[in-house]
Amino acid sequence: MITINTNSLGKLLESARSAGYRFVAPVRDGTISLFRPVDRIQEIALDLITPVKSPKEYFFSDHECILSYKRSGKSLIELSEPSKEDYAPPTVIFGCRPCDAAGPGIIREVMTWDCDDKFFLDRLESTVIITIACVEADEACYCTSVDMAPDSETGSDILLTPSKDKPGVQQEYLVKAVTEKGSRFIEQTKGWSDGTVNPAPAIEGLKSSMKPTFDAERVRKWLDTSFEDKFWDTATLACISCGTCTYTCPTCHCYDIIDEGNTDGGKRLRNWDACMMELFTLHASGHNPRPTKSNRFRQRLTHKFKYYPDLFNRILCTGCGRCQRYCPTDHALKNLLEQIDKLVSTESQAAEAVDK
Amino acid sequence: MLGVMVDVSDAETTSTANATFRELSTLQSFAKKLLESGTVKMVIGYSQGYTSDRAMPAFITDPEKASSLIFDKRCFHNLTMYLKTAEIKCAGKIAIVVKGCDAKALNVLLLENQIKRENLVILGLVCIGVGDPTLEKCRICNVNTPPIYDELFGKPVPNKEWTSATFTRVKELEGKSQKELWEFWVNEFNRCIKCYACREVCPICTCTRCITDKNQPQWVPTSPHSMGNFHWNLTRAFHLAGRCIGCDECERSCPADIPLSLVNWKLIKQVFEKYGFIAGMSPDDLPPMSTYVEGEEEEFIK
Repeated sequence: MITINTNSLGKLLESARSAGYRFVAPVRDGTISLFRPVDRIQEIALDLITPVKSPKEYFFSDHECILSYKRSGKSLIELSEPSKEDYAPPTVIFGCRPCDAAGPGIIREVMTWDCDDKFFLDRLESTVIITIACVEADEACYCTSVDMAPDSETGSDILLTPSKDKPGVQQEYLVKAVTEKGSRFIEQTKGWSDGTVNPAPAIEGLKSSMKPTFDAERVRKWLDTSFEDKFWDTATLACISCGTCTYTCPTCHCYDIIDEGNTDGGKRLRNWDACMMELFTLHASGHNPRPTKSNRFRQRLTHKFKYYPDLFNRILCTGCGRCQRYCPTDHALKNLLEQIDKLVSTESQAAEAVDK
Repeated sequence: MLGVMVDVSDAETTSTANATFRELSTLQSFAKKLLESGTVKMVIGYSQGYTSDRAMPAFITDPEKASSLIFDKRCFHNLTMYLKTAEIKCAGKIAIVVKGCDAKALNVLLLENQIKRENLVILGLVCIGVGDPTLEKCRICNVNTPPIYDELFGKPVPNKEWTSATFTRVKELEGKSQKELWEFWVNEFNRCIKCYACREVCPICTCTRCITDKNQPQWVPTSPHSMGNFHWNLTRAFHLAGRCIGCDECERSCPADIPLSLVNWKLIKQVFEKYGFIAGMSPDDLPPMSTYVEGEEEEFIK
C-alpha cells in the first residue's frame, strides 16, 4: 500500500492541478470554515473536525441556473441550458471527513429515483473524493450511531488514514484507493506518493471510544407508530425553525425552483430549500399541512430515519454533528434520537413489568 | 462615564465568571412556586444544554424541574423570541426569564401589541454580561438592571447612559470610505446562505408572513447570490430600524458568521443620535419610525 506524508500533500495538489482538476479543500475564512478551491496546500485547514459547511454544494449547488431564456425577435424565445464543462468541471475534493464523503452517495438514491438529476450526477462523476479518516471527534459527532465509523470508506474514492492520533500534526497517511475512479486518479497523477511502508494507522483509539448513543433501528420502529405522539410537541419547543441544520447538513437535499428575469430574458434557478421553514409546505390555498415547528421537526427526523430507509434502505444521516454544533439553541437531531431510544426502552421495560 | 462603568462590569464579570448567579436558588424556588400555585402554566428559562459547554432554553411545566434552571455567562439566548411562536402563544399564562436586553424586547413587543402583559410574569435578572470574553453589547449595556420586570433577581446596579461615544465599533466602520464599506459588506454578505436563522431567532421579527416569503410577486430574491443576499439583509435592517434592541442574537445564530451586530448597532446609533430614542426602554415610548407628530420638521421633503 502506498503512503503520503504531510510534506508531500503539496505535490499531490500540484499533480492534480496539472492533470486538469480543480482542487477543493477545507479552509478557514475569518471565523468560519468551508470547502473552497485552493491554489496552495498552506491554505488548507487539516485540523478541523468538520468545516461549518459540508462539501455538498460541490454536487448540489446552493443556487444554480438550470435554464435560461432570451427573447429574440417578436415572438421567438431562445432557451439555453448550462454546459457540463461549466457546472461540472473535473474536481478533487480533498480532506473530506468520512461523514461528508458519504453524503453524495446517499443523496444519489433520490437523485436517480424517479428521474435522473443530471446536474448532480454529472458533478458526482467528475469529482474525486479524497477523504482523511478522523482521529478526533467532538461531543456533537455520532457517526457510529448511524452505521458509520471514523474510517468509513463509503462514498470516498481514496481514503487516507493518518498514522498519528493528533489532528494537524506531521502525518504519514496510508493511501487506499476505494473505487476504480480513485485508482485511476492515483495512476494519472502519480509522483506524489512516499513509498510503500506501512505505518500503523492511529484511528483505533477514537473508534473504540465512540460508542453508539442510540439504536437507529429501534427508533425507526417507534416512528412507525408515533406520528401523533405527544413527544413531538414538548421535545421540539426549543427549535427556532431556521434552516441552519438543513443547510449545513451533508444529506439534506430539498430545493426550490424559481424564475428570475423579465419578458426579455432571465434564468430558471434551483436554490436550496428547507423543510424546517414554514413556507416550505404552504399551499397556494393558504393551507399548510405542517404549520407548527413540531410538525416540521418531526418531518426532518422521520425523513432521515424512517421514510428514506423505508425507500432506499439507507439512513439519510451520516452523523457529522453539524445540526448540533451550529444550532443556535443547542437543540439537535441526535438528542431527540437519544430521547426516543430511551422512551422506547422505558416503554418496553414498563410493558415487561406489566407482563410479569 | 462609560469608562467608570466598564471597570465596575469587569470586576463583576470576574466575580461571576466561575461562580453561578448568586440569586439562582431564589429564582428556582420562585419559579417552582409559580408553577405549584398554578399562577403560570410554564416557565421559560435556561438549563444545561445537550453540549456540555452550552446552555439551552428550558420550557418547564413540572414544578420539580424548576431546580434545573441555570443562569451564567453562557445564557446568550433572548428567550422572548419564543413568545411569537404558536406553541407558546397558546400555552396560557407563562413566566419568562429575561436579562436587561431581553426585557427591552418585551417592551417593544408590548408597545407593538404583540403580547399581552397580563399573560406574562417577567422574571428579571440583574445581568452584568454574558460570553467569555464578555460580548461587545454587554460592554456598552445600558440595562444591567432590566427596564421591566415583575420580580427582580440580583442586586440592582445603576444603569449606564449612552452617549454618541458609546458606539465605538460602529464608529470604526464609519471611518471607512464608501468603496471600502462596499467591499466589506459584499464580502460579508456573500457568505449568507439564506437559512433565515437571523429572522427566526429575532424577537422583533414578528411578521406572520415575512416580506421575503411573499412570492406574488417575489419582492426579495430568494437566491443566495450577491443581489439576493444584499436585498435580504438590507430589507431586514430597514424593518428593524428604531425597533432593534441590540440583543445581537442574529449575529450569534448566523452559521456564516456575518457581523450583523454592526448593522444593528449602526441603526441603533442613528436612531439614538437623530431622535434621542432607545428602543425598548419603556412599553409606552412612541417609536420614531412609525409615529407621526403634527408640526415635526420634514426637511427631507423638498
